[in-house]
Amino acid sequence: MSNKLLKMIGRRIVQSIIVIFLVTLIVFLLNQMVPGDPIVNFLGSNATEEQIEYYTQLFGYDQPVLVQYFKWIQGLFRGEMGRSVAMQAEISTILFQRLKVTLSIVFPAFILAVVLGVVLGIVAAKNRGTAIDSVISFFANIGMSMPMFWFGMILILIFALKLGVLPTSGFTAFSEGAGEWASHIVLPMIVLAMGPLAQFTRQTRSSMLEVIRQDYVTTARAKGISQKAITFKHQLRNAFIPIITVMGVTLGGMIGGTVLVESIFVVPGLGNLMITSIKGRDFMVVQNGVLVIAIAVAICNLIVDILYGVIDPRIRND
Amino acid sequence: MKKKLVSVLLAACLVTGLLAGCGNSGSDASTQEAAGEEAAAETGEEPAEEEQSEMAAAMEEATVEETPADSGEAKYGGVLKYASHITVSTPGYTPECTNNASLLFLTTAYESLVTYADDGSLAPLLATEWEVNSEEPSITWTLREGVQFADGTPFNAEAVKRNIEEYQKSERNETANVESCEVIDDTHIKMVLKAWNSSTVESVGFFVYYMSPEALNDVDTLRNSSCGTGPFQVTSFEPGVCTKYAKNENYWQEGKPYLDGVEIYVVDEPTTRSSAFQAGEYDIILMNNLTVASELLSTGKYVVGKNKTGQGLVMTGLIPNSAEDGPFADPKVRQAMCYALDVDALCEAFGYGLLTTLAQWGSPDAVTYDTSLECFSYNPDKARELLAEAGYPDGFDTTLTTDAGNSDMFTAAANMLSEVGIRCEINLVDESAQVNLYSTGTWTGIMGHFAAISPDLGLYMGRHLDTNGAFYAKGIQHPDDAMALLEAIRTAPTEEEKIKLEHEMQALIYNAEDGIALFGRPLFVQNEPIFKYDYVKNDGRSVYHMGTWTVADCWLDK
Repeated sequence: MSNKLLKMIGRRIVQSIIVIFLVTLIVFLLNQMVPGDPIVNFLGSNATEEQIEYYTQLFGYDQPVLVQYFKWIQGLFRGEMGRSVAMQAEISTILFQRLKVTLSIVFPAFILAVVLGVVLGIVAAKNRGTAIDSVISFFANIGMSMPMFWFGMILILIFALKLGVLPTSGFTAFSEGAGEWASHIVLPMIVLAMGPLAQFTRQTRSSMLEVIRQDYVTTARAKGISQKAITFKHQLRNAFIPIITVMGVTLGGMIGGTVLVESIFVVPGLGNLMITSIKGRDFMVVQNGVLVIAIAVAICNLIVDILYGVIDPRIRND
Repeated sequence: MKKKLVSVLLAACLVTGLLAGCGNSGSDASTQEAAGEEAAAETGEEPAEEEQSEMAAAMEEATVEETPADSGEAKYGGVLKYASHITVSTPGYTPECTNNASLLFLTTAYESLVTYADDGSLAPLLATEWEVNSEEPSITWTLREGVQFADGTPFNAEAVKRNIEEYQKSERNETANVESCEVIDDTHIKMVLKAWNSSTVESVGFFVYYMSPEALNDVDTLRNSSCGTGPFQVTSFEPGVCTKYAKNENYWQEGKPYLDGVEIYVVDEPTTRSSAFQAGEYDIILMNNLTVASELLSTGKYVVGKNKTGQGLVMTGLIPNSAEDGPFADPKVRQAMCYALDVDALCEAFGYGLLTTLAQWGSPDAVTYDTSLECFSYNPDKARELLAEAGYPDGFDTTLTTDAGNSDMFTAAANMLSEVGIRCEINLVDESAQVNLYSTGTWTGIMGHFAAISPDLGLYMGRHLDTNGAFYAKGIQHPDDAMALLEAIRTAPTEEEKIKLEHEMQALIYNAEDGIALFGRPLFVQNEPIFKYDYVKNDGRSVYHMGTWTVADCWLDK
């Protein structure tokens, strides 16, 4: 890896740290502005004032806002995220449990979307203007515009209720049985992959169409290089730069955006946890959840930057 | 041309495929029907009257009021799977299970001194009898012999004392009136009270769930497990996901429980919960969404549980802020508001036949609901007259705050209020913001009133009427006569006297002539339907209390 690339990665890491710090501040301040009280929500309608006071003190919500913020940041440096009011448990334990579940759906969905999207994009570009291109473009448009919630419900009705071949909801960890895990993630994975798959297909198609017309492709063809080599070595490599950008953004978005899918299929992941915590005003969980998502997005962006350098020597040596 | 043709063909294929998916099986047809009803609700169209009465008839027909004795010979084995939208922070450390929603989890692994009988009165459980002394004041409990916690620790008077202290440490209001506990012997304990309160037997007897004193030495472990005297004990707990229980081999009731285990799942999305239930993934579900509940009812396939006692029910109403300096500080304006609302029409239009209309505090079946009392009823002319008398002949502008769940009905209610001159602007907030408003008493104008309306007015109405009440109390007036009556209810020496005073309280607040309408207009109670397969026997879910079940008696006939 060249020094220039290492410097670029170092710069990106510093930028990411600044972004993450700003995210903590913004999320914390926004939480303060949201109407609602985690203690009151937790205690319910049988609570007395004494009880509310007791738990408010116990969780430190009686302290000034700035003190609460700095205590949280201090805790993060010690590796402590604090305690959830609603779940009465260490937030770090809950968050990482949930993150594992989310990733076990996001990664297969992402791989499915990338592999299928790129292949379909290439096929569409190679058959530009034909019926194959029309079919692929049509389904890509459908995939882009299909409401996730509706699509999820339709899949449940068809595959779980009508055909009875897959469970409607829930999640089983891979360690508890690969078959069970697979049967539970199929539907959420398809719903989650649908949008990105369509996006990758369209992006690959348009990038490939751009490079197909380039002079170096004509030159390669004139030199007698095989079509396979032209496609994969010359066209795809160049077409991949914008595709990688989309991939990075999409993967980050998928980690943070699994809320709907997890809600429809009752997947106990990060998105589901965030929704429950926002509803219950469990601010500490929300803050830490956003932090984890921000870190995940930053890592995705970093990987994209590294891949840019690997694929494109101009970036590596610039 | 060729491309266009391909596109048209593809679109046709897609539509056909999706329609096939939504196909013509029984359950799918009902989904479409429910979707139609939902659309009707959204567009403000009322479901046809026949549909409403059919739904009510279906509810009546599907309802089975089970008692543990009526279901034949019990079979052993099987795991009962239950799903609802309810989560708990801990299934094991009971002082932190603070609301009625936790009771299902509590009554699986733990037990209280008393439970509820068919008629809503208190019945023995861990205590076999109790003696109250309103003079001293004290309650002396006789404890059941031969009961052990799941870890083998004996359940005795020392264990009761230790648990009461643990609840007091958490500032639980249920034990706030207990001055001290005197252990008489292993099976007798006297609780000396700070002041005589007729509700203390119920609050200490039913709302304290006993944990093993040994287990209390490690509260952190107990939070994610359980150690009670109940029929099942927690084997795994994933917050917000699932709690799994296995049979308690030390259970004191001979031959029980019948099941090998119980699994309680959290499925927040009602449509998914319903689909999973219909696919047979759960044996029993709680359905809090009226549209989805009506869809399940219309299939006619499932058994519906129904509450018998009025215990644990939650009322929905509209409450004006009478503490703020505005029109609602005047009782005449509050009365006008009550007269302006056609509650029957609202419940008929938005309730799918699943709501019971109310005119006063509590379930109409409860002993404290005074059926002879003439309460506020729909009379817009009277409402206008009262507004004019209060100095608002041209009406006034105000706000009606609602969450999304009730917005359709409350918007219709706002229209009714506007017709008499109480012109409401709708303020849509989420549930937590709403909780914040009513806990701080800072709502403006009118907002939804959600209250646990179990029959004991001293305990439940007191939570709102009391000046120290945590909810709504800061947004309402506390007139001397109401406060004096509340105190009299709490200190009533006998049950008969207490019920008489509770009827007086209902009259003071809700009587049509000059009721002070402190809590505005009660609208309905939703007897949240419990749906189950007919092979689930004796679960007792919601029968004696909306939050509990008799899971020790439950068995699966399959």
